[in-house]
Parts: sequence; structure tokens; C-alpha cells
Amino acid sequence: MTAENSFNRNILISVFGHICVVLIIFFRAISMPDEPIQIRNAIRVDVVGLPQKNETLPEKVPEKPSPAPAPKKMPAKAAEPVKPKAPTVALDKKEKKKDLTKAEKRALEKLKAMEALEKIEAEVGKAKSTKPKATAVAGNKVSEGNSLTGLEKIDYDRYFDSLESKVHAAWSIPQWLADGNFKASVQVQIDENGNIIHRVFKKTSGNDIFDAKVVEALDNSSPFPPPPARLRGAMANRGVIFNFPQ
Amino acid sequence: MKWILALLMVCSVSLSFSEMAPAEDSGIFIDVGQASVKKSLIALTPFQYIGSQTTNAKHLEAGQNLYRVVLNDLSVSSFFSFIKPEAYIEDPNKVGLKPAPAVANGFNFQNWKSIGTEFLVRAAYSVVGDELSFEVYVYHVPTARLVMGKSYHGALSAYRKVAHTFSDDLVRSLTGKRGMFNTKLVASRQDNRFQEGVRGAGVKEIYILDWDGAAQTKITSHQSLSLSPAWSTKGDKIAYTAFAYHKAQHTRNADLFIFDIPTGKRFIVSYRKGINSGAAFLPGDQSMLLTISQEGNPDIYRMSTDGANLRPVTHGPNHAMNVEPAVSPDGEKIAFSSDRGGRPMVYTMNMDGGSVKRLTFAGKYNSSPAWSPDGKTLAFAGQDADHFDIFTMSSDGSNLKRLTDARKTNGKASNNESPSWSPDGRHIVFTSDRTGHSQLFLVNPDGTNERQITDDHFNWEKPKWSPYLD
Repeated sequence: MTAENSFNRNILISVFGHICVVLIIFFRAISMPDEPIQIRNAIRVDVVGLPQKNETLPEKVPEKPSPAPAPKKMPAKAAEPVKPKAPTVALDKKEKKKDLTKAEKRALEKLKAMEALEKIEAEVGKAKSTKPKATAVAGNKVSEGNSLTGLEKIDYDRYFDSLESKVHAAWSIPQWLADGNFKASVQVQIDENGNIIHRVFKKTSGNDIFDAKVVEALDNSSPFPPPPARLRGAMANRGVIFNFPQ
Repeated sequence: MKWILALLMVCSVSLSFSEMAPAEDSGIFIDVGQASVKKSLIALTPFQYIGSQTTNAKHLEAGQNLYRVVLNDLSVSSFFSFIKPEAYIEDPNKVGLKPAPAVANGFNFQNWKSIGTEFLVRAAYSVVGDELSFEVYVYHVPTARLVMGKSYHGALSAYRKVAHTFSDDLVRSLTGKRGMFNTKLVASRQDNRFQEGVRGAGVKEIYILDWDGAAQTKITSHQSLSLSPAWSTKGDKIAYTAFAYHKAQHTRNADLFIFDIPTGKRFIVSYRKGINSGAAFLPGDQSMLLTISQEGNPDIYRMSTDGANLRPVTHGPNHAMNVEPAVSPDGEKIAFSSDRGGRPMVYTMNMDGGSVKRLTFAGKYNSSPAWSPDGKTLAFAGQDADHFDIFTMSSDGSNLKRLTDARKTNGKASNNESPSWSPDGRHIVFTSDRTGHSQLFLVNPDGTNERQITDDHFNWEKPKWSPYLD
């Protein structure tokens, strides 16, 4: 009897614990929604070869790779980039996670800089290399640090990028509307095959022809690429909000 | 145990319930970016004559003139591509101005929809005596909706104003902003090449003309060289420089005049020895900037429009010349040309002459800065190699773009100079010698839609686009 009672008690405790966990997850989802995920361009970088030693290493090591392209004065008003290639610092904000994530990001940035430098060198034809090549040894951290989380994030970023590209390619407006500074936002829910389940204006532009063009762009973009497995639920239930133009 | 199993079932149900929560605001945002833009297909159907004198050549010509002016206006606007009449499915001369079935013998929207029409213009006119009446409807075909319907009345001789007013109204209906079709240009025109001993040969006089080159009206008769005109901010005065004869000194001097358009009166406001030129009115038209060289070097001065209260804004440095002042739309800054750096470049400064900033560094000779109406962009003429082209840049000197690159008939690069913005900021007028004579051209700020405005044997110089005049 004692053993049976003990067993039942343990089962009770276990069930009670599971219920608590479920309730915590449920109420957290409702009462504390996630911060909006700002989509930025992301690229995948794989280290495919170890860098060679630089024969002409300078004594002092410059901190930043700083490639040369920008001329002297190019202040803020630069001509309408589609996406600001802002540093990914903003993305880190929502993650208070581990230093491992930050280290991964730093390593990725350094790898990108290294690739850019190598391209410039190839075009100019100079043999000079800078310390970033040496610092790219730090790129080994990428392969060591390639956790599932990091790659998943890149996959998600790539997926959202593909959505943006498709809609952008389908979106055009007449010239007479272009100067009107109209803006609209549409929430779109997408099924596992990439089809639009539902779309609703979160914010109309106030011009019904502009709004019609927005709808036309979304409809012409469908079907979208199928979402990654882990995003299917979110895309079907919560969807994504497209801002026209931004 | 049964109730333990029941609890387990409740857990699993609650788990699935949390997955099926109704769609809430998504936390994922995607910025689509700027749309690609395209022109709208418009069917500008012939204007129907609904008067009684169907064989009156003058009446028929009025309709053709109206049509030609509207067609040019809408073409320059860059909003529209015109559907050729051969593509029309229904004959617009055989149907009414309004759609069926609301009216008998109305036009059929479907016939226009099927050829991709976005806008349909249906218009009719009549002439009674010397009065022109013009009734016009513009439809948005995809939504089968009337965009505007108006009628215009005026003297037959004012057909251009009727046409321009309709074009302005259409642009405003679509964009909410004013059109520029009723605005004008002022420029110096050289009538003939200078010939020794020939009176009147080579003189330059000031003309006001419609922005499309028509209705040229001379406002000076100095029989000399009249140059560098400028509009007041209200558009009711023209300041210009003329080499007037000073009897007492038996010499000519570059004096500054102001011509009052409504009254036709003329005033001399600055006749200091040397150059009195390059006038630019300040907002409010109580003061102006100009270049004066009485001290030896051309410098920029500020004075009241009656010629009083003269005070310098620039002074060198090092005997540098400072010319061609252009006032920013907010009246806070002056763009000007100066060779203080060794060769003429474009600079900006505050109204008191402080905070001088050099904006251009490339090219051999940069001059004639002109502010866009929103103050964000400067156009200027820049000499690259052996010729001038029109450039634009942001007001801080960044984002430099070349707008012109035409060749003359002999294959050499043409000179494109003296830019001036339309008041809606959508066009720039300039001079170009690509045809052999210096003619007026216009171009969009993105370098497209370059087209000739004047086509004659005169030489036009220093055009300035008027502000809105109504």
C-alpha cells in the first residue's frame, strides 16, 4: 500500500508540475508578446579554407577591417537604400541570451569583412593584406560555434528576405501616386504551402487606388515560398505584417 | 487513477489550445521598400466640337490648338503614356462624354478597360462669338469612376490658359499638388548676332514666355544688353541688369532695374559703378541680394528693393569673386559661386555671410547654383573637360548626379547651363547649344524627359522659372 501511495503521490506531483509549466507558457504568450522582429539582410558564411599567413604583417594591428570604398563626405542622406545594412547590434537587443550568440555575431561580421577585403584586393591587384586576415583565425569560432540556434536564425532571416523580395518585385504604382507619400500595412497569414490564408489591412493609406495596388502586389506574389518547419505555425496563425513602403 | 488520467487529458487539451490561439498582432514586420513606378496609360480622345458652325475653320482650329496644348502638358508631366487612336475599340467621336448605361449612347468602360486604359479623357468644346467653352471629364477606368468633371470658359484668344488650367486641375485631382502649367519663364534673348555698325544687332532683351515656349513678350527696350533676369517671390516683378547709357559719364554701366509687371513701370535700383547684377529676391520681396563690383571685386550685397540699406554679405577673401547668389526657399541660406579656392566652385553660407561651406570639388568650373523648391537639392552648371553640363546634388554637397550629356550635330559635347527649377520641383529649365543656337530645354531632376522648349534662331540665356502665378 505504501508503495502504491508513494507512486500516486509522485504522479500527482508530476502532473501538477506539467500543468504549471503549460499555464506559464500560455499566459506568457498572451500577456508578454514578443518584441517585433526587425528583419535585416542576413547572409550565410561558411569557412571553406584556413587563411594563409600574411608575410607582410604590419606591427600594429588596426582594430577594424575598414574597407575603403566610401568617399570623403557621404553624410546621412545617402540615396534611398532599400534596406539599411545596419549592424546586427539591434538584433541582439531582444536576446539577453548567452555571450556565445554575441561571439557568433562578431565572428560572422569579421568573416563578412574578410570576404569584402579579399574582393577589393583581387580587383585592385594588390598583394597587401591587412590584419583582418590574421584576425580571421577567429573565424574558426564560427565552425566551433555553429549551433543550431544560429543557423536557424539565418534560415529564418533568409525566408523573410525571400518574402520581401517577392513582394517588392511585384509591387509597382503609377507615377502620379509616387509623390503622395502614402503608407499602408497589411497582416498576411501564410499556410505551409506558401498560399495566403488571410490578409487584412492593419493600416490603410487613405487612397483606395494605392491600397488596391498593395493588394495586387500581395496577390501576385502568392504562392510564397513555403515557410521553414518551425515557422509554419507562426506564419499560419500570426502571419507577418508587410509595410508599404516602410 | 481515473482522475489522474483526466488531468493528463486536460493538459494535452490546454497545450493544443495554446497553439490554436486566434491570430493576434504579428511581431514580424517586413518593409517592402519603394515601389517601382510606371506611367499610366491615358486615352486622350479628340475633343468633340459641339458648336453650331461645324465648318468654321477658326472654331475647328481652336479645338486642335486646345488639344495640342493639353497633349504637350500631359506629356511633359511624365505621369502618362498615350494610347494611340488606332488602338481604340470604340470610336470616341460616335459616343457621348459620359458612360453607358447612365446616358443614352454613352461610352462603354469595358471597351477601354480591355486595352489597358487607366485614364480616359472625354471632352467637348464650342465657340460662341469670341468665347470658348470647354467641358471635360476624366475617368479612372479600372474603377469606372469619375476623377474630375469641369467646364471652362474664356476668350478664344485665351485657349492656352484654358488648356493649362485643365492640366493643372487634372494633376491636382490625382496628386493633390499644384501643377506648373500656368507658370512662366523669363530669360534674356539675343535677337541677332552682333554686327559692327548695325543698330540693334546683337542686342539682348528680356522676355517673359509661357513655360512651353509660347507667348513670348518683350519687357525691355534698352537697345543694349539686358541680362540675368530674376522673378520676385510673388511673381509680380522682374529684376534684371541692363547696360544702360549714363549721359553724364558718357559711358554704359551694368545697372540693376526692377520691372513691375502689373503696371508696366520700371525702376532703376542700383547703378553703382561696375557690375550691379545677379539679383535674387528674399522671401517677402522687401530685400534682395545682388553682385556689386564697386569696390573692385565682385561681392554679394544685400539691399532693400528700393536700392537703400546696402550692406555687404561677402568680402573676398583675397580679392576672390563671389557671384550668382541664390536664396534658399526658407530664406536661411545663400548658395553662390566663388573662386576663393582657386577656381569657381559652389558654396553656401548663412544670410549674414557666416558659415561658408564649399560644396563642390570636382570639375573645372561650377556655377549658377539653383535651389529646389523644397530646399533639399541644388542644381548647378559644371564644366567637365571642355563643356558644361547640368548637375544636381544634395544641399550638403553629397549625392552628385549629372543630368545632361548631349552632343551637338557636329559630334562635340554641347554646353548645358543656367538651371532653374519649376515651382513644383519636378522640372529644370536650362540652356543648351546642342542645336547650334542657345535654346531653352527642360529635364526632370532624375535626368529623364529631356526636351526642347524653344526652337528658333535666337540665343537664349539665364532663364528663370516663375513661382506659381495664380
